[in-house]
Amino acid sequence: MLLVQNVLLKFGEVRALDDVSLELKKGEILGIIGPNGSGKTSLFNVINGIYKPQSGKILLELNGEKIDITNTPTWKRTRYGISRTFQNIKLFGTLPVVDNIILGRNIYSDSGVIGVLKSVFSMDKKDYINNRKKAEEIIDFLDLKPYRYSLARDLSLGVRKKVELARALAQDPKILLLDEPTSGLTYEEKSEFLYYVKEINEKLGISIIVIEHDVKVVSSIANRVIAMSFGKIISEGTPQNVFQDPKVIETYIGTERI
Amino acid sequence: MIKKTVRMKTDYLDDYRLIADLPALVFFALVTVVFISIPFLFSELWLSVITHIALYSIAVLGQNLLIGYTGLISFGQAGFLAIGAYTFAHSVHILGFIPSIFISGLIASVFGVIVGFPSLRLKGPYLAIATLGFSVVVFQVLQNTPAISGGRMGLSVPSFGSKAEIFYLVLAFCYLFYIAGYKIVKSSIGKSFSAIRDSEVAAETLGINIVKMKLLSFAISSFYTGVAGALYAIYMKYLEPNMFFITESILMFSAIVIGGIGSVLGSILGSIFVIAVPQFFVGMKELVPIIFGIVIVLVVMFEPLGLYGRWIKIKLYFMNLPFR
Repeated sequence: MLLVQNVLLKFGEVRALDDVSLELKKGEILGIIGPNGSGKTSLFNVINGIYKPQSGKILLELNGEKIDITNTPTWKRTRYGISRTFQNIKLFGTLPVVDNIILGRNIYSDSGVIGVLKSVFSMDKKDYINNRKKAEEIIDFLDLKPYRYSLARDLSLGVRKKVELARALAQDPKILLLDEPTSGLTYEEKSEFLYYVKEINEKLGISIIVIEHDVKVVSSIANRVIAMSFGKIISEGTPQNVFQDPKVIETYIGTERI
Repeated sequence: MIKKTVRMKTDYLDDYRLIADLPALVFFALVTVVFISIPFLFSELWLSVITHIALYSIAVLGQNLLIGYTGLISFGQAGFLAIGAYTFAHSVHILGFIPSIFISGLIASVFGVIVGFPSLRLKGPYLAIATLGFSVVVFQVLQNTPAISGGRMGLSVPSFGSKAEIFYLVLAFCYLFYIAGYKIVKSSIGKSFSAIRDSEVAAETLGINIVKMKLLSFAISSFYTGVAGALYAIYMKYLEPNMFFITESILMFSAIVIGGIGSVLGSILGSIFVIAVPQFFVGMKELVPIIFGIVIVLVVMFEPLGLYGRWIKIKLYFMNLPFR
């Protein structure tokens, strides 16, 4: 589905990502763990196109053919089916929830001068109804009905996280990147969120990469886990194997001094 | 007694329509009747003031789309207004009145796209300074090029008709551009503009082409301003570069701030304030900048949404009247 090959990302002399390679298989949930500053979000930003890597490739496998998207701008990658959420939630605060979700559908309506003319002459009515229907489906699925018309900036953290997931889902993605989706949530909210993630993965067949600190969360949803430290992948495998890997334990807890 | 004052939403299209229900339609029709009868109700002086407000509000709405909705602080208004006015003054002899109004808008929007390119790199105050530079350049070019500006004599514009006729022309354009403005703001284009204002990174990950959308925003706003410039030329019947000094940009910016940043109706309220208040202080012209300054400070401190925010509060008060 998604191949990251030998990606190198440098900020000055800091190697944020050092020779990182990974593969996301179709229909799996891949967990990424690692201490702060280990390059997890940078990896997302590279996959997403916000940062351009100095070397390495990002390949997308769609319908059997491989597309090189290393130099594709971010807004175009969305059209290939990559969508994401952010660690520090980036909603459009001044717009109501329903508009936030409909904005996720904007790749399916006209932009540019044609879009302006269409909207001026009320020819975008059909687009609006279609987008709205899809948005309402997602609102039903994520149980956001009470918040439909409230402004995104007025909502609590748990709801904002759900709205951001809804906005990402509205794009009909094939790959979903979740950046710390459950940080700052209560135990109940976490388990509710995981239920949604699992359902998105199983029922909609969307492959997911999830960055997460909570070991319990990762081990309960991820099929495979990658551990990162200082921009390098140090361990890869099933959750149990990775959590017992001495290298991973060393990065988190440190070694015994002799 | 509790009356059901507003119809409930029963259809997705209720969020799409401009005029939601019957009371709104009646209100809209009444307002239109009042507007049409303005030439019979007011003296010539006030008719010309109202005409000025109407044409000014078109430009303010255009700039509000750029500054309020897309969040790109720009001071290029005077330049676009001048380009629209002078394009009109030169093309009206060849093309006639109505086509050359639209041509002025188009030429202004071409310049808008050119000025928009810095906006891809510059943000906030830096963009404001770059666009302020554009206004200065246009002003200087006009002042030093008699071929365009008509030199010391100024440039006279053929008369469109009586004051009432000019008012109806401006009113028609006002309706056209305000309905279009409302439609754009409610469409996915307008929402993308707001998305860029709120979070550029998130907007880009949603598939919004930021470069295209920012240039589009510049193009639309300068189209509005160019058309307003053309109407200004018709209204004044005479053009000289001093009418488009950079203070004009700042005046329009204060109209946006006072009226309400990011609101269509606020553009009208802001232009009423900016054009009508000086008329009340004709004898004490020195006081006008002081009043504007104080009002802007008060608005920023107490009512960030400007006069529009006040209007919303008054409206909500009357909608919930028995319970207050």
